[in-house]
Amino acid sequence: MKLQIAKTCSLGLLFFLLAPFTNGQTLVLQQKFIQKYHNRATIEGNFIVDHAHPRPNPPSQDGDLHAAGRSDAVELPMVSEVMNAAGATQQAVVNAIHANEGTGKAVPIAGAWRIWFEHPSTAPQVQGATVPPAANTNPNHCFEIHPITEYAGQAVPDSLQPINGYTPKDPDTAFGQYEKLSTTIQIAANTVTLTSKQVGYNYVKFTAQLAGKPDNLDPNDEGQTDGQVVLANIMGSEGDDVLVNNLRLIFVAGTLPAKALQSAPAGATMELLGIPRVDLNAIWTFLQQSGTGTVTRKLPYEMIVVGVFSGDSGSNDSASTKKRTTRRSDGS
Amino acid sequence: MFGLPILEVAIGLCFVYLLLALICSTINETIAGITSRRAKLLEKGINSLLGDNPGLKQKLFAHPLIASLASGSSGPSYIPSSKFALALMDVVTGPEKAPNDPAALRAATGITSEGKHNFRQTLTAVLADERDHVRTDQAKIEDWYNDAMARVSGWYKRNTLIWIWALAAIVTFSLNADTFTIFRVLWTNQGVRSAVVESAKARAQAPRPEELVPLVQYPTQDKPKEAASVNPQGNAVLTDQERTELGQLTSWKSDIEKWQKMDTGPLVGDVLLHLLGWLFTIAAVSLGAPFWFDMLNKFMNVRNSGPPTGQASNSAPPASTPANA
Repeated sequence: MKLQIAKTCSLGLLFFLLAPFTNGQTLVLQQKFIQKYHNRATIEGNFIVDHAHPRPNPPSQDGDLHAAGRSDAVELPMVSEVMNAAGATQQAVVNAIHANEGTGKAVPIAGAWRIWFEHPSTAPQVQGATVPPAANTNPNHCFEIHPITEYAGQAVPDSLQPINGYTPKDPDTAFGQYEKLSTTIQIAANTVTLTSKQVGYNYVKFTAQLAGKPDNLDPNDEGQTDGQVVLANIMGSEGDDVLVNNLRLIFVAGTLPAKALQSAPAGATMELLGIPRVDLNAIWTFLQQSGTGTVTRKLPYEMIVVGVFSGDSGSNDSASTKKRTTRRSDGS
Repeated sequence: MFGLPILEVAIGLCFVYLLLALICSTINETIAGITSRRAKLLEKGINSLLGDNPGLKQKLFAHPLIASLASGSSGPSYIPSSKFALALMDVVTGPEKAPNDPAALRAATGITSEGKHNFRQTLTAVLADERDHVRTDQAKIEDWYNDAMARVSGWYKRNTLIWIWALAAIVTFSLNADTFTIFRVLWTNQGVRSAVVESAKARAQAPRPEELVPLVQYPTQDKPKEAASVNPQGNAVLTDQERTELGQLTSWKSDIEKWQKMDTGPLVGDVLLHLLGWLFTIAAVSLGAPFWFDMLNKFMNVRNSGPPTGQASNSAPPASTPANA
């Protein structure tokens, strides 16, 4: 009990101290969370749905279904999203979300964790502080489970595919924006504070040339393979230059993109749909080597692969990519 | 010419100017952040764009699209043209009309405060631009805004230049960074020169100033889970080694000791010579860190394309003078 009071008081104090200096895009993460998830594709926990969209977004907007709520595994304001939510195979999950909406019932959920400064708050968001029920379907948040791969026992791994009727962002614009992002990282004894500018550019269609061999990510809470990670070079829309070198691509186990990766030859190029998230592995590595302090750096990010285009299981044209020129450097 | 000590002295000078410029730009950025300089200039630019209409400016900055870009108590330091155009259209047309209602936009139905006439005249002229008839009203406002922002960018550059000159003078004088003294120490003290060249080599391989430094790199392509930290020491502008070398080349101590023993005539002459040296340094530092970084790399390339450094040291002058003597 005393420990809980001390924890609440210290988080409150941290919030109070940070408030005057922040610009509303500040996220305080617990180091133990970063340690657990820095090489994980997904997160599992129980999720209380406070509000959900009555129906999925139209395909022209992105086709997602948003559900705002709270999770004991996250302890931050958050939103969970079903991809291609109008699809027949996703109907059971959509129905379950609506059935649990507003009931306060914590229901098992799994999906790709995603930290991104897309809907920042005007106040710092501190992991572990009390999270009030969401006031609407899209509260200020930096944390998402997006896309959901399982909810209420219903798995939807095949929802991770290109969105029919949606025009994805082009890689030149999207990666151009990601590459310009900076973050101030403040490392304390038990927490890491990230401050960054607001950024969007979800669902980017890009060509990735695999730069190395895929590696298994850390197992999930049930000890099962969580997915794979591979370093890739991201090509510009013209296909003749490299936008980013050695960017981490995250493939969620059991999804169509993960299957495509398994059958892709070394050095293959793949047409992918992805969404960006903060690269916690970069932050974990840095804090292990730097100790405490504050630095301002390029925002480390990686891409969650949520779709593979037109039956592309990877074509090997590494010979032609050797001629390509590099426009920008490492994504991290 | 390769390996001549003069080349290493040139590298040393570039290196010192680069370090001083880095110190100045860091101080400048800190001051700019504290004083919200960029946000203030942006506000000034938008104010001029809106025809010095305080009511309209207030409404625009209070619009959720713009207010969400603000940081803390100061206004936004950057507004994308699309957000500016949408917010302005929404404010100008008022709550009763759709933001893209052409008639309401041209009549500026949402503005009732003073200065409406002038602003409406400006807006009408912007929207009447028919060089590309398929462009929407939003695109025309975005172009108008982008043109104005190019002007704001020019203001900011000029403002920064003034600050950099002032900071260069303060830093140069504080450290007693006299170009002539630095040159003399580098020329006569081979030990200092070699150490400075080694540090310059490391600095030349670092990211170019003004480029964002990554947190980590993934050095082995087959190991995507193994990252290596980039400069885990943090945000220190100079490394410990660089600070030591700057201290060997710039210091007040030896000059004060020397001046205490001098008569008035030679003292005045020496101070005037220092003054000239400081002016050289200030002018050099005001060229900025990226300039000296590129220059350093050019000299490094020339040095690296020459014979081994062992031959270079053979042609160096005798090294007996202590640092900064």
